[in-house]
Amino acid sequence: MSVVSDIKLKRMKVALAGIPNVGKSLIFNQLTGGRAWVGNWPGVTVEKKVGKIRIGDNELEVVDLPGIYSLTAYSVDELIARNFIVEERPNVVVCILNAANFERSLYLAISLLELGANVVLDLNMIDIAENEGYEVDYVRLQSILKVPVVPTIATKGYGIDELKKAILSAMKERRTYVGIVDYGADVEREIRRLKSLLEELAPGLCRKYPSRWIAVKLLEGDEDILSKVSKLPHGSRMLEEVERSKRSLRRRVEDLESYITECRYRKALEIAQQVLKRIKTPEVTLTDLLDFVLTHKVLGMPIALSIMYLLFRFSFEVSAPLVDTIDIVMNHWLHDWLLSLPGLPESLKSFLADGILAGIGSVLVFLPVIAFFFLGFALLEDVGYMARIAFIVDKIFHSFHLPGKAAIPLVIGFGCNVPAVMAARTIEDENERKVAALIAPLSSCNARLPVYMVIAGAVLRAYAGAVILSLYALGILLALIVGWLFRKTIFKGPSTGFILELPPYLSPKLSNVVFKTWERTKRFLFKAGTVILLGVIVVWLLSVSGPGGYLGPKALEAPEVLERGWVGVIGHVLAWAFAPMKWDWRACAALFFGFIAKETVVGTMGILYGVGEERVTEAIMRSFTPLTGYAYMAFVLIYVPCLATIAMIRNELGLKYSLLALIYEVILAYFVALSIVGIGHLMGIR
Amino acid sequence: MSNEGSRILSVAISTSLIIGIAYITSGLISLYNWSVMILAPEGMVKGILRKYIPGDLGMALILLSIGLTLLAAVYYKLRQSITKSFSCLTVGSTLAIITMSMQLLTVLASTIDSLIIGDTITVEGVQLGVLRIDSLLGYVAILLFIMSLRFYDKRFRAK
Repeated sequence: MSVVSDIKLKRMKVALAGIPNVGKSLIFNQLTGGRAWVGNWPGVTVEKKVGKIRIGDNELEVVDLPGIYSLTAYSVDELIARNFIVEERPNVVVCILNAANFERSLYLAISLLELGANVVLDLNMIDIAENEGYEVDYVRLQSILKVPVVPTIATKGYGIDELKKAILSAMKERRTYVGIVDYGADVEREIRRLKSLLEELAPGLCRKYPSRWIAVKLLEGDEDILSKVSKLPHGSRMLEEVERSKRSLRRRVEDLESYITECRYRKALEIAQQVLKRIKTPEVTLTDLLDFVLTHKVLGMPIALSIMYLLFRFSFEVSAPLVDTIDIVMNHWLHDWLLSLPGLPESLKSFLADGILAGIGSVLVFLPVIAFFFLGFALLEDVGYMARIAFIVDKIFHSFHLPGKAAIPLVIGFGCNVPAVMAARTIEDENERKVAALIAPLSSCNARLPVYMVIAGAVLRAYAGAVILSLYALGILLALIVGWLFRKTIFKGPSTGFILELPPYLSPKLSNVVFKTWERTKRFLFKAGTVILLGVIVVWLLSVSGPGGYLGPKALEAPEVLERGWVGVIGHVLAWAFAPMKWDWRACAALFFGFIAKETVVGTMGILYGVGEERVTEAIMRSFTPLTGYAYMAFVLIYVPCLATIAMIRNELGLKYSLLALIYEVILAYFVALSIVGIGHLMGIR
Repeated sequence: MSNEGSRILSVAISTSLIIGIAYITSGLISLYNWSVMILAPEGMVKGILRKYIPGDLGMALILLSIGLTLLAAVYYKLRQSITKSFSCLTVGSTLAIITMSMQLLTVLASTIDSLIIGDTITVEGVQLGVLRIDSLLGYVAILLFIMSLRFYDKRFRAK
């Protein structure tokens, strides 16, 4: 290869496309040596990721697109992938096929070929196909589709070098096959007619997309393409011609859109029959055996709840030694050492020990709990169990007029609400997608966990575990009820079906599990060092100063002085609003700061309840009863999770819906907390 | 199915019946102990074997789930659905072993925690943790798991 072509290659782009859970992220990592999120369940790639690939001396840009089944404009993910291929014009599109789910993967490959992409096919998971008794004749496939086909086993790194070579050779020799599907004489005649009209009336659009593809999409009624054509100078004439074609075809084809889809599926099936070979009687796979019980209509749900309970035990109880170690180091040794430092002014000592250390320390003690939770979560993801949970709850979701796919954001929300809102993108129906994004914050994220642990640990002691689990259940129940209300009022419409690819169960890959745990825990650490640090500094400043001026560090040692600070003013105003719940003014002030991020609630409590020599737990025990404590935790669960989540809702749905989320969550939180206290009193619970 | 495979499954199913009943009984006792803790005035009702079967809603749920899965294995065997019976046997015994391991890990963590914070560690405390019902039944479930693995080899891999 010449030096000139090497320089050109360096500016080239490679896109990775494939159906959900085909191993795209894993291949992305194998190619780039990168660290994309890998999960054994659909919907892991919610946004496109970019990395670099080195082939010899060449460095190419690789883009990992979201998992998609086709190139329609029904879901945001499909539109993102399609627009990327059309707008960014990657030099090569690597379409990853699942050898164990061949026909469905092939449908996407056919759609990509029709779009005129320069495709390289990566036939992944050939080992799983073999276990299931099949072998794909990839040489034959290559000759049928006229594009390179490379067999791989991404989990073992098998075939990756060959894939790199195929990409490099495809860069030099572009192959397209837009006419791969024959839609029958009548439809083909209309496609040809529209194609020549498009080339005449819309040359600009035809430079961007293959004219045949636009003609097919117009006949299919693709909204995105119809809107693009309507905006052209001869748009109305073109649309009239499309209508004419549709009218003439209606006599022969009843539903043109379904007919076109059927033709593609027929083609995929026809190719599959030519290249799939049965090599042995399939073994009953472990996946089949396990799925019979784990997705069983009676046993599936109690087993899922049991696994979740075990995950919580693992997070809370097994991490206990690390929690206590951090507590001793941060809140005792470091605290005492800072206070004993000679030569420092008292106000600075107080700022460092009672402000920063008390605030950050009270959050950091929960780092092991969160890390252990993420470790367990990553294990379940890698094994492939999380997809089963979405499957099990599908029926329940449907009875609340929600799509089964809405379960995925709620499950992701247990980790963090921000990606949970983004995960709603995989839902095709717009109304359903909006509802799923709006209810996702009701899923109890890890930032709320420290609050539950502090309050439940102090006032509900032996029942803490069960109480915390009940809060997670309450979050899901409320999400279902709110979702149902939204679907019955603002976002009316029929419920769509749920197609979820259940991935095979795989042994977890240690490096993947450790990486995911670290990445997620790192976010918590980063938050502690930025948002929460800033939050506790503000809380400290508002504690040592008030309407009467500077109160000094003594405010943090004497409750009566602290009450005169700004934080006291805020706390007392809110305590008035929360009077029916009988929450202490300090707890109310912590809720105020919790708007920034939920971890700040505990950070604030660390400063405000850590007055004098009094320990936080003892102070909380005096401030809350089990009933008011539970109501407080429910409020923390429901009201705005953090500003980042609201910003993400704004990003995904717009300002109007982010305000709707903000308002409904605060009102709902107040109503639920009030109801808990009210019902509890009626039952004679304190 | 080979004679050996059939023999292994018969032994596994008989064991599954006994352990399944034990799990269900323990789950119900745990549920009872939990109800007593919640509803009865303090100290009025003692509960059953509370040291070994603590009243805990989560634990009751797990014990009942494992018990139900193991009894489902017996049910499907009686209906001649060997594959379904084997599935229940495998999942039930695996869940039992995970639950047992979690309890042992908790005991270990709690012992280390006591060392860190300077609490006294008693032999009785450790013993109670190791002999709690979920760990005790989990030890027996290991046998069941081994049998299900051997049956998998004979019945499904041999083809």
